[in-house]
Amino acid sequence: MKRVSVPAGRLEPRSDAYPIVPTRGALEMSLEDFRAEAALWIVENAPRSLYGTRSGRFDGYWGGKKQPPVSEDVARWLAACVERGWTAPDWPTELGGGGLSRQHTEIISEILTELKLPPPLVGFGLAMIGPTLLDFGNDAQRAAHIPPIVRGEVRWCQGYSEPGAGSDLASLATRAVRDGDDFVIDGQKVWTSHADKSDWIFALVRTNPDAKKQSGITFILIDMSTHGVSTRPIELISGSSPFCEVFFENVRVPAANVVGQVDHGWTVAKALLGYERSMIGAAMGGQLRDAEADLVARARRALDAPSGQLPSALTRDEIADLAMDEACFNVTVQRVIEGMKGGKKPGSESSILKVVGSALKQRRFDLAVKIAGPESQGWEGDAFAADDLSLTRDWLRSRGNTIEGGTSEVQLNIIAKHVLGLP
Amino acid sequence: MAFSLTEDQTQIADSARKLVETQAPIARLRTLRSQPERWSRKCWAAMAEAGWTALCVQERHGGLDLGLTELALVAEAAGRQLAPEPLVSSAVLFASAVQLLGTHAQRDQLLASVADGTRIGALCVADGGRYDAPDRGCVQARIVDGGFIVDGVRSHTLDVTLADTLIVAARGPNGAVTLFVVDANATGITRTPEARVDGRDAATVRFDSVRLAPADILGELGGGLAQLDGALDRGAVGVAAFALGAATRALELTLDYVRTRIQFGVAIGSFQALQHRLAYVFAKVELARSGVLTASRAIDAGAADGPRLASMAKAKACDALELAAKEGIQMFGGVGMTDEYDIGFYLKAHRGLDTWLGDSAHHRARWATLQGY
Ligand SMILES: Cc1cc2nc3c(=O)[nH]c(=O)nc-3n(C[C@H](O)[C@H](O)[C@H](O)COP(=O)(O)OP(=O)(O)OC[C@H]3O[C@@H](n4cnc5c(N)ncnc54)[C@H](O)[C@@H]3O)c2cc1C
Repeated sequence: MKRVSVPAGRLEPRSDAYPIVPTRGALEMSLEDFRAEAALWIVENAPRSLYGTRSGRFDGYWGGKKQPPVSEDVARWLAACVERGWTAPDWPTELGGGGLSRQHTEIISEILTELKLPPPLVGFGLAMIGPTLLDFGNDAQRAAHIPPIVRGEVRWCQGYSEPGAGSDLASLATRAVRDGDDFVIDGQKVWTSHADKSDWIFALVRTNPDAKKQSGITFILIDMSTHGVSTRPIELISGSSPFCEVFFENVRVPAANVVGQVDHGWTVAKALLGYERSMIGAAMGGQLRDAEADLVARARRALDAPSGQLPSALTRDEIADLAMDEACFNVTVQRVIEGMKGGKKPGSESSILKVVGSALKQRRFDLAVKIAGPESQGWEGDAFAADDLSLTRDWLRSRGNTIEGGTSEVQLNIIAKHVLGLP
Repeated sequence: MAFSLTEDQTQIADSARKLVETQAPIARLRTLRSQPERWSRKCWAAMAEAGWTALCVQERHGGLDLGLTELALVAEAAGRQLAPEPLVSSAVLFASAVQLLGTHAQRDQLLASVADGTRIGALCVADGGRYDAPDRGCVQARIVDGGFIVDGVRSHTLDVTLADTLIVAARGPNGAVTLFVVDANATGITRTPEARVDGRDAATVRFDSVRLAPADILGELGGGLAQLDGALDRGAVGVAAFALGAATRALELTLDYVRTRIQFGVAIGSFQALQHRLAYVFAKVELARSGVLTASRAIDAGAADGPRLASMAKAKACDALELAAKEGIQMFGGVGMTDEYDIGFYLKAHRGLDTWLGDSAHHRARWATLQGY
């Protein structure tokens, strides 16, 4: 991987207005030139306080009306990138994107990772519903929804799962009945991540109860502020409450909010799951980058071995084995990205990323708590270091990685059937 | 770094696969294993004809001067059918050692014939081809009359029986190891073939007062085994690519079998307990493929992390082969245990490939060392 060298003395962000460098030339220059130019622009525009703040988790500002940026610098960083179309570098410029290729986008994200800078904006808008609308939405829907996503003004959540429909998603029962220009929606979603902090929800609803399972489903966009929508947070084993139940009672939604055809939402839903899995996979690639250094640092503390060879052969072996798998995984992510060049859709190989990436992440945290030993037992308070407390919580949270976005078992079913061709 | 193959590389991979399938199918292992020559000169000639032995040799020595990236493609093809020809020994380990350490004279003398396949080279530097075990110092060199006299025994040495030229490591009186290029048929050398689980060519090599000259030294006098690191890293990637091909093929054989074997009125491949395990094997094989791809490219590019990535490729590819072979035998059921079915060959091959050039645990320890912990 190319290292980005940060020129000394250049870290101070410029106080004047963000220089607008024409993105147009980027497509003509070589990728290496682009890397140099992009690194320079990032170094000039990223506020100094943000360097090193990316801890490797899903960080970055999630956008939306309900949660303002945590600091002025986060807002400045977002504004600078919005100006240049770099919150969504490979989306069309007329919708607020950067008009670049996927490779350019990769380069930008490599530079950010290298500098431990958070991306200016993250979330389901950029990662899931945006790409879906670009592929399946009509012009009016794109014009209405893409620019606010790119600018971080609207936060989206995903209303797929229901109490009776998890892995067997197509058995979902939330009803939508046509009434004039609207659909009237009744039912319940569950495990909806960040529903209470979101402005809009993309949901799967049943429009035809008589049709065969997959065929009566419609993909629809719902403004969460509509009368009749309510949310209730659910507490996780890690103690946080990132996801909710969402209730719909007589919710009127314009029929114009249907993406694709009524009763044919399953195709849209599946395409979106492909983006979701590649997002989860790729995000894990990013998160895994620093795992080895983190584990070694923990082992040094736990084994009281500040330098040199770790005194535990077993710990060395386990860290090295994990680090090798992670390195191979990150290359696999790159292979998949390369395979998607020229606008090809992520195929079933993206589910290999999900199943492998989520298991690796769990292994990372399992190994970390094992190395931390007694220090991994804290829950809250002063008896444990803050870093160790968050490790315990992250470790618990990581159990969800093999459940969310389609369980590992379901992923393995997909690989067996669609990649290995088993009956 | 680009991982997709260029058109030329795709062509190399395709024709390598065709060559192996038509001229070197795995079935021949059953006859080769009982013959005095454990691999086929005819197949070797075909591989040489196709340029395999020239891939990693520089152009001015008659080579093609391509890289490990290309070599890995043909080694992977060879691995699919477990072809026992000494590709990695001669065309990678020996060729790289001479290229990296040899004098002009040595390179002029040795490389052209290695590139065209007429000379078989092999390493005879560590018992069992392991670099993770302490050197027992069984081969000693004394200095006599401005030359050297080498005595000792090296056991479990791969690909030496039919080799023409060996690279031998011998410990001098001061304890330092010197490498020599030695004619395998020199007076005082006896090679006693060994019977191995994987059926490959290996021998115990005995040195009785073998006389060598200063011009036979490869690298520095007393330069140590570490001089070979560059060649061993390349060899590790070659072995990894071979193991990757073997793992891929073992999985394919198993998939073919579970699709057609009927029990309880259905193909056993419809059982989820088998499907999930096969999907997991597939994921492991794909990760190993990424390992081989990145290691071969890193070494070709002269990247600083080449050695570490070579260790990764070796460990991950051999681990993938082990899993694919063991799950394969299990899923074949009773017939998996029979000599008649090919799947067992893959497990036997793993035993040899894993040990050769250091096993997976050795390579993980090496990775940790190179990463500073
Ligand atoms: C942290 C987190 C965040 C989430 N965020 C969202 C969100 O934002 N929006 C949303 O819609 N959903 C979300 N989900 C829900 C998630 O998609 C579901 O939990 C998941 O699809 C599994 O469904 P379930 O919980 O009903 O489990 P079930 O489907 O009941 O599965 C229980 C167990 O049975 C296994 N199983 C089920 N079917 C099979 C089969 N055919 N073969 C083998 N094994 C099987 C599963 O693998 C699992 O181990 C989230 C979940 C988590 C944990």
